[in-house]
Amino acid sequence: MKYIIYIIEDDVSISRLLKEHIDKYGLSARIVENFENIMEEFLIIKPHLVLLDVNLPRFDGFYWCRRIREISKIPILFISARESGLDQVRALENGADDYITKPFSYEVVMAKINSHIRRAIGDYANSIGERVIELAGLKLYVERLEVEFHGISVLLTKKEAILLESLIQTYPKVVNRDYLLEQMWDHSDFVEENTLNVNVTRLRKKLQVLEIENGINTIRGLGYKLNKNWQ
Amino acid sequence: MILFFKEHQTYIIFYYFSAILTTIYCVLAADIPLLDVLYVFVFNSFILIVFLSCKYVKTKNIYELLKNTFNFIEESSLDQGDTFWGKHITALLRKQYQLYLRSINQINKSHQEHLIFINQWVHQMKTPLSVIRLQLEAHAGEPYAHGISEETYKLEKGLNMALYYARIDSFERDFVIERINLKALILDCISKEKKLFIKNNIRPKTEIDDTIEVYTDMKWLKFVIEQLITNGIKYSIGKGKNLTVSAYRKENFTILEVVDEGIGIHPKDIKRVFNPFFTGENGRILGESTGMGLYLAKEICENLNHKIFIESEVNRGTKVKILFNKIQTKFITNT
Repeated sequence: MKYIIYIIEDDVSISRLLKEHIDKYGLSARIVENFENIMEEFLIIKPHLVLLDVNLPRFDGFYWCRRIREISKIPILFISARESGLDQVRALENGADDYITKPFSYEVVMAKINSHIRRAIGDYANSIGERVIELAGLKLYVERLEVEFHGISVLLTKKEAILLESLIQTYPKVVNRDYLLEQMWDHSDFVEENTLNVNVTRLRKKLQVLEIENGINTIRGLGYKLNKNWQ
Repeated sequence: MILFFKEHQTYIIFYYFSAILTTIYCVLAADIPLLDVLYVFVFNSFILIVFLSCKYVKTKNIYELLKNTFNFIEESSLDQGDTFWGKHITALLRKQYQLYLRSINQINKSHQEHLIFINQWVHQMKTPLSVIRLQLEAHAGEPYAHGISEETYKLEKGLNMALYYARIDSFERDFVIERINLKALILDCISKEKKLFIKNNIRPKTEIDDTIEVYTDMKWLKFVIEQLITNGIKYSIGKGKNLTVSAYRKENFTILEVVDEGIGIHPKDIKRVFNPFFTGENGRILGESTGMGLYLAKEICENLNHKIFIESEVNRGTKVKILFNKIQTKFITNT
């Protein structure tokens, strides 16, 4: 069974983008259709989690949050441009479980959705499958830090995995060097240009183990590109 | 007292002048003995002194008011007593106070409206910004997308600046003082600015003891530090290699320093960098300066009861220091 996420947000573009992304992760997102009858829709859809905007036509998000709380205990996450402490406190007081401020990234939204579903339903493995990124037989198991090709698999370091993930996802385009540095900057560790070079070299060697020669091309002044020379 | 005499001195002179004239006339016309003349003088003086004393006692407050003036505008509506001048001055001042209040209220109202507008506008702009960012994520890492994402980041910072500027007026209602681990906060700020560090190839360094804690409002202090870091990077471009954030304890204070190795600030500008809209020599050279960053930093620090200092040497770099009181008595007694 797929978990259902109910998106109550009046900006059409945001709802659509969120839905596309959530669907990609194996969940099912439903967008609000009628702002007058949110409770009716809620009862029909029976979501497992609600994403709720604060500023809505007719009644605000706080109001709907209270209404939902009267009949349900499912996780409610607010999404709002208002980042002041007062608004967040108000959201929590009205029964919300978390608060995400705009502009946000998919990463944050997905992480919060996952953690709340896990906490509420206690069944993590089924809600989200293992993330696998694939390009013509080259499979990267993101959480396992493992890359597999034609039955052979190699373990990667966290930095190498980040590198490979970006390269595969952007393929066939070039990945910007600065972007890679940003991605590898875990928390506080500043990543030097050299570290990036070293990691690229190591990743090349690991791809060689999988019998992929010259798997990564350097594009001078721009960044790196995956060289898909395998079938 | 002096004012009272000054006001009445011509009156006293005239009084004696006419008394002398009268007695001269009487002496010439009726040959009155000197002792009687003296008696009349003493008697008249007595009447004058009693009259002036009574008047002084009754109107004393007015003279004191003239001497001391006001400390607060509200004082001008106080009652100035029952005397002739008391009543008239009270009426006049109250009228003036009313007119003044009316115009102040008008200005306050339009100022408030303006702030509400800025607040709503900034929040509205954040939705399209979110949409752009989410759409960019599908192309993350591609060179074009990366360029656009850097620009949206600038937009976001600009919006935040407007928001914090609008908010600083209602600071009293919008802060929470907590004990905060300084290192964690600084690392968070640095990580937030990673795009800038990477783009300009500047290396952040931190030298902060894990145990240092300060009493402050997290949201506002983060804003200040982000300003300092952004400035540090901006004025290091093409010159400095490192941006160092360090903190240490000294007597009753904790001192935080943000040090860059950039172009520095000209001595003639340094006194004015905390003024609003001041951009100075560096602003003219680099552009992209609103002159608001340091001004807001200073305002916020004052509100949080921290002190902020800046020192700089041209071509050597700039150091901004924030001084935290070890014990924030001001806030502790309040809560």
